[in-house]
Amino acid sequence: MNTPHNITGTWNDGSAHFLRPKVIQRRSFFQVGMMAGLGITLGDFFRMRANAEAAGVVAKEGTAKSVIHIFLPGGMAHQESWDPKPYAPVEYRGPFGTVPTKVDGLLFSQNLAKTAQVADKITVCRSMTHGEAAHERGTHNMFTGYRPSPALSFPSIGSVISHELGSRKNLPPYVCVPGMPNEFAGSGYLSSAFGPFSLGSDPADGAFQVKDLVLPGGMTAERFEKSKTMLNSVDAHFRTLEKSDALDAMDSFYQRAYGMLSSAEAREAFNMKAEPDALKDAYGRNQAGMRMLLARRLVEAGVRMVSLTYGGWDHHDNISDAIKTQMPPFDQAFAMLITDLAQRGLLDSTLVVVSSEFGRTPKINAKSGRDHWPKVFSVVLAGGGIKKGYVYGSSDATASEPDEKPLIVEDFAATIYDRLGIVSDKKLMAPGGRPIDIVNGGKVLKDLLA
Amino acid sequence: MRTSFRKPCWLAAQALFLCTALLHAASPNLTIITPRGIQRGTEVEVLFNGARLNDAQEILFYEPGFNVVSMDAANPAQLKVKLKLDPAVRLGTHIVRVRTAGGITEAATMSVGQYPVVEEKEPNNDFATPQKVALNTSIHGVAGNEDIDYFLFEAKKGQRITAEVEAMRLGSALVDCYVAILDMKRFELAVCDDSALALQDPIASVIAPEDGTYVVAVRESSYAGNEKSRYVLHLGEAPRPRIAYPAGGKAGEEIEVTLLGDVRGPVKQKIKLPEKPGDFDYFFTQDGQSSPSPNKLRVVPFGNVLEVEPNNTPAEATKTDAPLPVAFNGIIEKAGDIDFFRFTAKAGQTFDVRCVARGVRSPLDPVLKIYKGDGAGIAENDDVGGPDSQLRWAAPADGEYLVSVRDHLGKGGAEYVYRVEFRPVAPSLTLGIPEFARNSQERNTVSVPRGNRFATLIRVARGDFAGDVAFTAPELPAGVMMSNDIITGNVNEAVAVFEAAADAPNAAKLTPLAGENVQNKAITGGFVQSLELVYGPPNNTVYYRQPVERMAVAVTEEVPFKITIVEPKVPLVQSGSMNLKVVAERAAGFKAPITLRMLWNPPGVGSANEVVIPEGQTEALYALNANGDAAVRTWKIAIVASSDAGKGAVWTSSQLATLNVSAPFLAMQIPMAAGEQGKPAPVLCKIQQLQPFDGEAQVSLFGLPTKVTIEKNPLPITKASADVTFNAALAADAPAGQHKSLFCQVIVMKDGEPIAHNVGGGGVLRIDEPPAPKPNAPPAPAPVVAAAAPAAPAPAAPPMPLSRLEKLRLDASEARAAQK
Repeated sequence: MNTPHNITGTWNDGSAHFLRPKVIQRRSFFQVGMMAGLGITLGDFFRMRANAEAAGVVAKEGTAKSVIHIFLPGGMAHQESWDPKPYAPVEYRGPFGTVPTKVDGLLFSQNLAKTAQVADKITVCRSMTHGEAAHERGTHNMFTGYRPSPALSFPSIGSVISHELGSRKNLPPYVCVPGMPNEFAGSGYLSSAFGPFSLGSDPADGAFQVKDLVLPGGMTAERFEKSKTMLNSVDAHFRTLEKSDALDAMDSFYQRAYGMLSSAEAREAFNMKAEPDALKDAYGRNQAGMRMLLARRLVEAGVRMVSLTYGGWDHHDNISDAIKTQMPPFDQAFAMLITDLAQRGLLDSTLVVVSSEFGRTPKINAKSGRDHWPKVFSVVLAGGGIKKGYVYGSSDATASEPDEKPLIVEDFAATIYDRLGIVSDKKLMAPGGRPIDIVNGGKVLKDLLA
Repeated sequence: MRTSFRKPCWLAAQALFLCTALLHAASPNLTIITPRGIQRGTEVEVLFNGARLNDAQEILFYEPGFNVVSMDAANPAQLKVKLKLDPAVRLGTHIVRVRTAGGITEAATMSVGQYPVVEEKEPNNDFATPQKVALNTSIHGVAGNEDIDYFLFEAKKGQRITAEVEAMRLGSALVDCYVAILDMKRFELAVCDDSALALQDPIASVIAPEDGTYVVAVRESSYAGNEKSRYVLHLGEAPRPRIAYPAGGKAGEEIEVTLLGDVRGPVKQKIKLPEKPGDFDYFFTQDGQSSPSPNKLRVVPFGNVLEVEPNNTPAEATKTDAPLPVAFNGIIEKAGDIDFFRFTAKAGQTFDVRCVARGVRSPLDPVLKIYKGDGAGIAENDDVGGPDSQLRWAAPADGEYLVSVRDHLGKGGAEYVYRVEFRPVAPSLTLGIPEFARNSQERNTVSVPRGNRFATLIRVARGDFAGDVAFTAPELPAGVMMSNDIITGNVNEAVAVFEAAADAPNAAKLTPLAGENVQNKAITGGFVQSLELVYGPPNNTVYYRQPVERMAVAVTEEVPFKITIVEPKVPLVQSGSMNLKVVAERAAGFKAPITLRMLWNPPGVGSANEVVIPEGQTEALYALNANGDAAVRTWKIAIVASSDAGKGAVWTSSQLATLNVSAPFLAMQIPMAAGEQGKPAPVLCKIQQLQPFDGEAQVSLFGLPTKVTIEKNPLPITKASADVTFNAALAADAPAGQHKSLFCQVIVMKDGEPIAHNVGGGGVLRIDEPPAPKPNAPPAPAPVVAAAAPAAPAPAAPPMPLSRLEKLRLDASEARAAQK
């Protein structure tokens, strides 16, 4: 298997691909130079180069024009949300009952009563699985589509979208609400120019204002132009001294920032005051509600990917009280987001993803909580060309392991990219001239597609 | 040891309590005792800060020497206590609790020193304007954000100056301090951030080079303190050896040690070791001053062998003729040093070999290796005991062996002391209360309301033995009884229920626990509670813990509810479930919800995490399950209850109840059932009778998909039934596919109570879409089957129900027969 596909595998893929082939094949005679040690053939080399050259090509648009990624950090219990097990013993089932949904026979946890009313518009994947029980590793999986590697820092899905699809209407392509949630939401091996735009302020905060969208007090347009010119001459000087990604990235940040400063339309995308009070109430005037409302506003304005976080779901202790506190705002806001997108005709062009780094243990622990459980958990996909009112895969009777159609991270990522029109086996160039697949071997899951 | 103090108005308060049921016990809370440092041999006012302390009755001290002169409990958030400390009170951090009428507080700490205590006075952040203090003073300060505290003092030439900071060791906050002794030109004479002896706490010492003034600076080591970053700086002429060599000896013996690391140089000292083996805190005293904190020594049941340099090679090894067990002692004096000892051992002798270095606060990170007499390595360890080394070693044959010690990074120095203890493997037994809430002291004491009960779990840590452990509490307060089961060999915990008589006086005891192995009564042990007082990153690492060896038990005021488990007459069967009835008696007027929690689940038994008796109600059912492998036997269980009637949560318990886990009456298998949309699908359940039962049992089928209905559910069976069939009707739009969640619940009645069996798990119902009609299809074989049916002998008995597989086989054989 001397394919570039293998070379881009993570260190977890086993050591086999670092070994020379045992049988000398005819193809081996075409191996070139240093690369022969890695098992790349001449044909592969040319293909990789061609792919690398294609890296700058803009992908064709997919069914989804934008993504809203709702990440629930800490690892939300699938049992208390999307995948209740009403027939499991009480120590597995947990403290909550179920609620029927708009889809016949589909039950959600009683905590998602409002979302149950939009179940006919979303797809619940109950068989998501990966093996990473540590927060940072699970988060890495869900943000990048890759298992973590000590050898390479991978770009987040948002950064890949930013790289592949670029900016629209002077707006940053990838926005994190309220800020970059973790180090894996960044641009990885891609230029930092493809990193997220962080609001730096929570839309749930009454005094919400995105930093740097307006000129600071006392700064006139004329003075600002003068400063820009000065900055350019300083930058030009540094550019003669060194060539670095940071300089180029900085330059593109400035260009984008100038674009936003000069575009009233772009600034307006962040203006939460323009949303009617009744709609704010419908979303809920809390972190979940306001972040999701802003996300909708941003995708409506042209942002390609909004990644938002809500709550802390690492419920090792007393999960019942924690869920009772955190879930209702999420339930209300998420149901409203789906309804709002549908009413505006945006749902079919907006892919909404709800994920978490992993699920939680099947059995309630001695401290009335649940611990980390990556073997099986649930994610939700909605809109953007995903089936409606559908359940993909299932977990077993105690929500311990995938029972049907295990959903792996690579397939999950490949399907998201596919909906955006990004070809996930395209290669992006990592430092050192290493072409890396956007997703390592994931399949687009036809079952999920509308 | 404990000093009780009753407010003059106490009786009046009690009389008032009896008048109304709503005035009852409350959970007191103790957060911090200030000032953090107090001087022994003096009378001081100490503030106990917390909540609900206004009915305080007693301060519980774990060590002797504290006398309460008076208590002012007017303020619920702050108890003022005048304390008189004996001059002999141990220096250092002491554990203290407050007992109120309503309960016992968390453990908090107070630090006892030998010097008068002065408070830090801000501003003292500028070297030029320091706070003036006298030498031989303890300063209680706060190392805030970006805050450096400067203290100016005078010293004579040749005077020893020791600045030892207690910060992390105060046990109240995560605070990592730094200390420096500076001259007036701002040159550092001695600085310290962390020390081997005091870990994160710094110790700096210097001999004053001239008569004059000096400055001590204290700050948080990364300038990132806050208002909780309290410290006590002991600034004086105290001796401050860092370590003793040898760092331990035989119990009860007098040994001569050399105290190393003091700025005046090494000192030889004779120390009488205590009779009881364990860790021993030794305070070195010189010129009337004690070291501010102890040096650590080990007390073991065997003697020492001291190294004789040179011993850096096997050939030069320090040889001993003393038979094992012994402790080899040495110092890794310079970088790259390695010490060898030669000894003899007999075949089959097994030892726990432990190199203690960090354990006696040596800077050494030891690596231990054992060799055959000829130098061939046979066992090695670096870090099993934390940075210290530990291994279990059995001598393979009679003969000579070598043991070596070196530093992991090849470091060395005058204070790199170690001892290698060859200890015969011996069983150990420790009892404790497990943590009920993460990183919390919740319910780590026993507060028994009068006329009521309290329950806790007692956990055993068994070392090198197996079997049952029995335990008793020998020193309970008057009127309190403890009932408990033994801790059986296959588990580590058992429930202990404490019951206080209705007339038991309000009082507390710090009681030890006595545990013994039932099979070998020579194996005994007691209670140890390791109070984890300071947590910090990463991952809530414990930075300061202090063990106590007695359990705090108090009789508290009545609580307005009492719960009882209605013990079931029937067992919980394997793969079965049960609803345990819990009844609450409420005092008149008490309506608040009562939260119930199963204190402990026996192995194989699961239960709801909590069940609430709703407001005003007096009953709840507590769901229990047993898995198929739950051991068949009886267990002792208890359910604890908490409620808040406005003064914080108070806890009570049910009686120690019996739970009987037994074998099931029957088992079941559900073979795959299948049917087409819009048609019936019989679901056959095959019964395996295991024990006969009387009368009828009811079988209910669960887990059917949507759009599937059953006409009659449940169905009756008897002890003679071999199967039962549910006639499922599949709607035309029933979801096609395999539905794997079918199972049955069988209720067998006995003594008027239900015994629930959850059986047949994993049953599958397959719903097929009707086949598309085939163009020019030959006549379906079905009519053949239908035609064959009448040919069968007239059925005298109903036909035996067939599983899907059996039906398919029958269909196939009939089709084959028809073709012939």
